[in-house]
Amino acid sequence: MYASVPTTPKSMEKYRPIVGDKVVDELKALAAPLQGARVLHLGVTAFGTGIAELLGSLAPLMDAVGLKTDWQVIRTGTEFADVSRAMYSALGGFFVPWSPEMENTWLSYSILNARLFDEQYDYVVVHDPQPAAILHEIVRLEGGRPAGKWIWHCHLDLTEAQMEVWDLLKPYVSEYDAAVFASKEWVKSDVDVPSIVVIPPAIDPMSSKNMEVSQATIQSVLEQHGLDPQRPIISQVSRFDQWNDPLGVIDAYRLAKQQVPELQLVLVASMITSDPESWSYYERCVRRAGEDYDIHLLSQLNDIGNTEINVFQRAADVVVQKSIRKGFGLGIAEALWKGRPVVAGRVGGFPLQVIDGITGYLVSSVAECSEKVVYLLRHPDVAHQMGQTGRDYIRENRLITRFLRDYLQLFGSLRYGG
Amino acid sequence: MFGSVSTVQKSLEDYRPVIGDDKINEILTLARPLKGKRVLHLNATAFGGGVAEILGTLVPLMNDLGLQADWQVIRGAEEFFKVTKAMHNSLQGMFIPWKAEMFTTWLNYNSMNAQLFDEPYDFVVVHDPQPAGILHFVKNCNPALATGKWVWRCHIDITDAQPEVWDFLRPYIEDYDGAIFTLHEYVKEDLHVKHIFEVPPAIDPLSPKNVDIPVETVEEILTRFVVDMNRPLISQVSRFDPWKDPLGVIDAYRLVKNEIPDLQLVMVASMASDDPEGWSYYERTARRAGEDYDIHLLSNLNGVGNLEVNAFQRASAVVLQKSIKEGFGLVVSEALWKGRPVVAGNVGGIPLQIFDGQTGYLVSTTEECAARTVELLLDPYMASEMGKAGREYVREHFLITRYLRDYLALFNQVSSD
Repeated sequence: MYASVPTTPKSMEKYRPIVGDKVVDELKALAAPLQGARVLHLGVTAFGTGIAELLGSLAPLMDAVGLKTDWQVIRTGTEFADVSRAMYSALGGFFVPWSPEMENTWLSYSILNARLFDEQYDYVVVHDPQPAAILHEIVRLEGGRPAGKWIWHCHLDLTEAQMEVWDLLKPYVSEYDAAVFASKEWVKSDVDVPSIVVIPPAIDPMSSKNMEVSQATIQSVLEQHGLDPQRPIISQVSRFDQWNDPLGVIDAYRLAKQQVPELQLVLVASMITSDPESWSYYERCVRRAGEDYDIHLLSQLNDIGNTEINVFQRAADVVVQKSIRKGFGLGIAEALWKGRPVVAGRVGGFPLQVIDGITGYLVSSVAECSEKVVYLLRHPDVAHQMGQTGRDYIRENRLITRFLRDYLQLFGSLRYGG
Repeated sequence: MFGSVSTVQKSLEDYRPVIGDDKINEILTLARPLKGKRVLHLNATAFGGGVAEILGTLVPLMNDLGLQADWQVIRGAEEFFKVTKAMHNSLQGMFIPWKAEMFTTWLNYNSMNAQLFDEPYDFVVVHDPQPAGILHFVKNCNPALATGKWVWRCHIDITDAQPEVWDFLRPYIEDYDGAIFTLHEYVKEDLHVKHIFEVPPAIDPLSPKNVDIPVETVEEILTRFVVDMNRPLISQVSRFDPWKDPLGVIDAYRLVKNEIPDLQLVMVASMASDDPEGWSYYERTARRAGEDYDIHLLSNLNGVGNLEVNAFQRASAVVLQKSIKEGFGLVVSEALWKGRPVVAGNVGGIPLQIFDGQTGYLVSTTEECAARTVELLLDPYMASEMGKAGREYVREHFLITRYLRDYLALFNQVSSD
């Protein structure tokens, strides 16, 4: 067995006031033929990533509609963690020096984890590339295919993947019954799987990161972290890494501040991990910020949790997501759900929640970013309208209930399609 | 029995080339009457902190000399360590609202640990306040085992202790045959024990932090951290906290850099994940540094360990310790031992290690710190002379062998009662 991740039970009924009867009833209808089906979600991390957050909502919701869902994470070690990170970066389009030793490490952990597979499931969903070879190794160890349908869910954009790493992964992936991608633009043209499905990511409106918060809480969290609620705030919530360009955000803030001297910036790092690279990127951000204490750099080191992130998004006049390359885009969905206009990086390929000029602006440079921020700060009516439109868009397209529906449909189709 | 801490074997002979025959012989002479004597060092933690570092060397050296020395740690749970942490802080001058239950907790754990004391020892050295009450309970419950000489070793400066905490602790200390303080100045006036000893801390010249390393290793480490060997370097090794004044260090560096544009600064700290104040002060330091990447802010998070600290100190033209409040400040001796001149704040135990103008400079302001640093950078001959003098001074006063000698001498003295 793998390491089991505990989740908090959820009730479908709580979502009814938010998403409406039609959506809830449709979910129940789709789940009816799947009652009692055993589902395993197998991932790499139990917390601190967008995928972990998603599974933390999806798994209990699947239980809530009558499936029997386990969420487990593979066993790893330090050397695997390094390789796993490298693999993820390489597949995401960053060049990493990939070596035969890394391949060996990856495979030896795949074998080790394959040996831990010891239960029967109707559906096994393997999330992300790192554990993808486990199916192959199980087949090899047991001399046959395990029961149930196997689905590979790829949460990242493979279109610019480093060739040698993708070539390594590809044959393992082809053994799955289905592959899920977040966007149709992200589907690798040479993926060879019987069924390819697009399921864009989603946010949970009931989670502590997205639920409604009182004005009093907003006020007190802002003050606790030294922000002035009376002065304009822009914020970005993301990892501190090159993908999310926090340095560019600081530069854009500086330009905007020349025109809006009262401006404050909150950069919330969703995570500063113990890996030296992420640590050194955090250092670079702090140094770029220098001694301008209207720039607030916050992270779990300052006791920032989901409620605080929620507050910083809600309190922002404009939310920035100046990513150079986007993995998940959920920060945007979270901000739009809170009725905030978003100025986001124009990153190719992703079906963006930011519809240029309607729910926010897409920008390609620091100057453009700051210009749009200033425009929205000076036109609160426009900002408000965009925020409302954004919220409606998310309600339709990016809530966890839609994600659950897509999965139930996929399970259903695999069941009948054989 | 308590929790036993195992140590690696060490040999006094390895120190002969470092300290010379006379000092070795003196130690051997002091050890002769103590052969076969059983010694117990008892403290609260096996890892981390200067005390554990010192015991890790002291205990095996005592064994090497024919004593039978054990190092053991008391048993405790979170509630106890919460109280001892508060006690530690309030003895160092912080005021903490004390509740009767806290004293009770301390007494309970000391009493419980006293029951674990089940072997006879000739000398028991109890380190710091955490386990100080054990002797009282051993005397009451198991007097047959309290026959050896008991000495309390205080590693902290308790002169500003919160009175109610000290008044509570004092009677337990007065059960001891002797008490050891780091400095005479740290001795509480109202403490009545038969013997009072002064034993300043010391460094181990053979530990990874201090041992001589080849210049190739130094180069390799500097290259790994993108520090340029061919440009002047100054460094400070200390936590990022207001008392070590890292912001002042950066300001001083900037002043020096005006005159010596090639200058680089390395600041090394150790960062603990459970120390939010440390993080926030790190952030302030990094913000002050700004995007001048000739300032290197390093820590265990970048993979800096003892060997790297050793290399950075050795590679420095001048070492800073710009503290505005300090305990003993033993890191100054580490730098002096490497033959580096040190410019340091004139506080705590620092003036005991630095003779102004001979082994470095004592400074009180940022400007003074910068001026002295410039002076040393522009006069490498003088810097090197000071470094040499500093190394000799540390050899004489602050090596672990002197520390060992002090202990042997005091064992001899208390046993002649």
